[in-house]
Order: sequence, then C-alpha cells, then structure tokens
Amino acid sequence: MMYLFAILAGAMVVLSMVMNSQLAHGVGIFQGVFINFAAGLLTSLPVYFLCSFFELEALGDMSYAAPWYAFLGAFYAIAIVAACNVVIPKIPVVYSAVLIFLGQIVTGLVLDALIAGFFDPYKAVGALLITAGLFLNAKIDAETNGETDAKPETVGVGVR
Amino acid sequence: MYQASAMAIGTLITLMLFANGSLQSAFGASRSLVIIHATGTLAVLVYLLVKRASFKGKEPVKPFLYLAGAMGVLLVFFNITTVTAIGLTLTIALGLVGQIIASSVVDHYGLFALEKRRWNMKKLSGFALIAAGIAVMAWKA
Repeated sequence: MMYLFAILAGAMVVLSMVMNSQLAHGVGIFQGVFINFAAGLLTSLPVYFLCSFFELEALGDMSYAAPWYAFLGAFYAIAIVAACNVVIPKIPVVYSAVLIFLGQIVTGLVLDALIAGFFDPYKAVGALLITAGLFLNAKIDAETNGETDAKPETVGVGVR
Repeated sequence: MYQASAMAIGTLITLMLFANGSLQSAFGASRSLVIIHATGTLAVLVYLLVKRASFKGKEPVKPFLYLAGAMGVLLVFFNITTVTAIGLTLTIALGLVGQIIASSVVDHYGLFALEKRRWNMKKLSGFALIAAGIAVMAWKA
C-alpha cells in the first residue's frame, strides 16, 4: 500500500510540474506558486474539517510538539522553485534530472541513517543501481531527442 | 558549479520531505496539510508583495490549471504518509518510478498539448537497472 502511494506521488509530481509550468507561463512563476499553494489551502481546510468532524484520523496520540525545522517544508518548496529558475537553464536538461535525483537520494540515505541510527548498505547499493539506470536512459534520451534546453519552470514549480 | 547546485536542489527536495514528514508525526496528516499550505501561501504572498509583482496575467490560462494545487494536497498527503512509514530513501526511489511512468505516458501521447515523444524501447535497459535497485532497497526494508 505504502509502495503504491509512493509511486502515485511520483506520478503526481509529473502532472503537477506540467500543469504548474503551463500556469506559470500564463501568470508568472511566483504568481503561479501562489495560486498553487492557495488552491492547496482551500482544499486542505475542508479536508481537515471533514476529518475532524467524522473522526477519520486518530489524533489522540499526537504529541502536537514538532521541532522548528518541521515547519520549513513550504519554505524549502519556494527555495526550490527559485533555485530551479537560476540553475536549470545552465545545464543540459538530461543531466539535470540525474543530478537532482542524486542529490535527493544521497540526502535521503544520510537522513535515514541519522533517524534509524544505522547505515543500511542495501539502500546505498540500490541507490547506485537506480542512478546508473537513470543516467543510461538520460544518455539515450540525449541521443534521440538532442539536448533540448529545459524551461526553468518545468522542473521546480510543482514541488512541495 | 551548476552541477553542484542541481544536486543541492535535490537536497532541498529531500529536506522538504523530511520536514513535512516530521510535521505529520507531530500533528497528523490533515492538520499538517493545512499548516504546510498556509505557510506556503503566506510566504509566497509576502514575497510577491515585497517584489511588487503584478497580479495581471500575461496570457489567459486554461481554468483546469488552477486545480493543480488541489491535486497537490493529495500529493503531499501521499508523501508525508509514505515518508513516515517506509523512510525517505525508498519513498524517493519509488517516486522516481512513478515519475518515469507518468512522464513516459505524457510524452508518448503528447498529453497537455506537449510535443509527442514516442516511447523508446532502448530505455528498457535503464529501467531494468532501476527496478533492480528498488528490489535491492526493498530486500531488507
């Protein structure tokens, strides 16, 4: 179930990026991000009220104490959009996807090890294989399509 | 230099997943969704006001594009539930699989009025490596 959720989330990242980049094209990049978050807020509020009204989510065992960095999620999302605007146009699009993934997975390995208290070599070997596969396909893409330059907003805007 | 910056963007994405996951551990999913989107809306609004950005659109936008944010709520829900359940690394790896499937479909059929890019059989070798990587990761997870 969790595996399916994670795969679905990945698929939605793509849809979200495509839709938000087209939105950004019409209204401007950060105006698009604003609309994106505002629509998300307007959706999540009724979801929250429904959940608490019908007691769909057991909130009784919640600590309600989060470390300060737990509140930074949205700020990271905005930083990612800003960074993509600067960085992505400067590197070939095929490799930007590989590099971003590499940064993601290495950070994931480090944080997972810190959280669990031990380093899982299986995850590291898996990450290496996945990166190799991604790199191989990126090269095939580059050969068939040419190194088309990416629009900066195609990579970052859907993120959060 | 820009290569390192691209990797830094990846780091930021994982930090975002980690932060949102930590929020869900403390407040539960439905409250976290509100907190994440409220802070995001406010932060971007402040940014736009400071920059004195114009809210007049450059060109008309298809109305359904305004709904991307609503789908984003489901996306964040999936992410925060999986991150807390199976960890960051596996969530990221499986997310990549979803991204590849979705982008292949969008490209092959030219959805969202994008240029059609036909599915390339050669890429199966790369996918085999990616599948093997996931299998190794999930082996002991």
